[in-house]
Amino acid sequence: MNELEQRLQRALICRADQLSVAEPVPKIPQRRPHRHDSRRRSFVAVAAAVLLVLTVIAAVKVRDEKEPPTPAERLRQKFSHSGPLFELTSDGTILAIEPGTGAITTIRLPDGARRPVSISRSATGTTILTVAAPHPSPCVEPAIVSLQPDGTTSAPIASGWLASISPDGERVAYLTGGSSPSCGDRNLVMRDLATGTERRWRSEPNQGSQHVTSTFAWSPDGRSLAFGTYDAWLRVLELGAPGDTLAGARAVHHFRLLQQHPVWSAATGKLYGSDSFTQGPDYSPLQEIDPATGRVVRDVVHDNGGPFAISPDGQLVAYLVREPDHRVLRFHLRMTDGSATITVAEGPIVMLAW
Amino acid sequence: MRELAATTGTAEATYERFFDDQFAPAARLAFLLTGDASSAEDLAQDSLAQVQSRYPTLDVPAAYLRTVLVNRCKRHHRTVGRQRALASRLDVGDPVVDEDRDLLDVVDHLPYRQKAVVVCRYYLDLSEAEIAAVLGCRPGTVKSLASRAMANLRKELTE
Repeated sequence: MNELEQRLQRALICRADQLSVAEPVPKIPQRRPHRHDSRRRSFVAVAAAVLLVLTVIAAVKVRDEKEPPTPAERLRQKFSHSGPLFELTSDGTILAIEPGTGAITTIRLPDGARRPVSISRSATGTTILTVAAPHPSPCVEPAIVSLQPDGTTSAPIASGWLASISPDGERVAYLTGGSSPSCGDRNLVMRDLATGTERRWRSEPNQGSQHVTSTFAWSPDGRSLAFGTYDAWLRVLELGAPGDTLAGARAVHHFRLLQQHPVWSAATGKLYGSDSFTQGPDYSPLQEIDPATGRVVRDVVHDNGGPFAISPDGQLVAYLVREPDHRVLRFHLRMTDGSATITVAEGPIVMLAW
Repeated sequence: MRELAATTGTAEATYERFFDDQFAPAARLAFLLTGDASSAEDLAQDSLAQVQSRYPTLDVPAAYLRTVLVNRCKRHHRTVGRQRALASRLDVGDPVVDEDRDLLDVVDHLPYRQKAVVVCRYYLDLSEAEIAAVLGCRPGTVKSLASRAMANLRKELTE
């Protein structure tokens, strides 16, 4: 090795020794990002996206191939998405059922308050009660009060029977006069809750066509009232029409017996009427009635049931069925198209509001 | 299952020893080849990681490591350039005597293959055959590269 080579060797060793090598961390080397890693990452991302799409397609196929829900399952799903259902029991207790959670809230009016005898709810959630006098008598009118969200009641709005709240929650229709013809004339009253203004239609108790026997069902637009009369007709009163008696109400459909309380769905505009406790092989307690022609569109409930309530979306009907001995009440839910019925509970329920 | 685990554990332990032994020399070799102190350890680690994947199949892992490292340094030499290498070396502080610094400056400016031959021969003390294996060329090519490198050094030092 010549001198240059020796110098070269010495210089290289000297320089190499100057590099202070730190302890490598980690001890086992990890692979560092490669210059092609971005391309690899892109490939992985595309592959993952393709895999995701394939998975979604497969999942959709599996779902499509899955058995469709049974009518009863569909009914339960619809019920779970409907709004709260209010039940008025025979002892004056109000039960608020939240279908989504199954929670039941018991609303008891404060001690000393009068017992509720009817309940009506608007599409906006306003709830109206008629509460009986402390010492009920045929000629003493119940008070009409509003049920507050906290379970208390407002001061009396008016006195009357069978109060029904309009879909917009702004007007209430009710009957004045006693429950018996001997108590005097009966009048249909429509009261504006905000202004307190009233409009009255006189009822002639001795004429079956004007003797109202049911609560009032408001049309979705709030311009008409449907009700049953003593002559077994379901009638519709156009509120904008002139006249001061109920004689102007249009006879829509004739049932065989007295009417139960008609129901007019604010969501679908369908009008439902029912016979009262009919018996026999061909009875049809709840029917959908065309309000314009009076024609029966369909039989909705064949059980010997009532009263009824239609869900806010108009898809379900809740009703009570009396067993033949009239002692047991079963609470049923049914699709209004008749596709399914389930029994929910038993109990002494006298009125429903949805 | 136990046998496989034991075998794997032994292989890992052997590689760890190899890593401990080779990391510092590899880093120094990288420093000489690139002149870049900041990248020398990274290059050594990357090369050792590449060796790890083939470690159980290698007869002479150190030779394979040299080959990998010299090739990595060649790529680094191309991409990073000499400016950064020079700045890096200034940061480290070069304690070589002035006359040797001139010599190393000339080495730094040699073409990479000539520089690799010089480093392998005078720092690693490898034979022409071993250098040929590292560079992936014939021994005759190594001899030619070494000859041209020394001629360049002499020429630059006498000017």
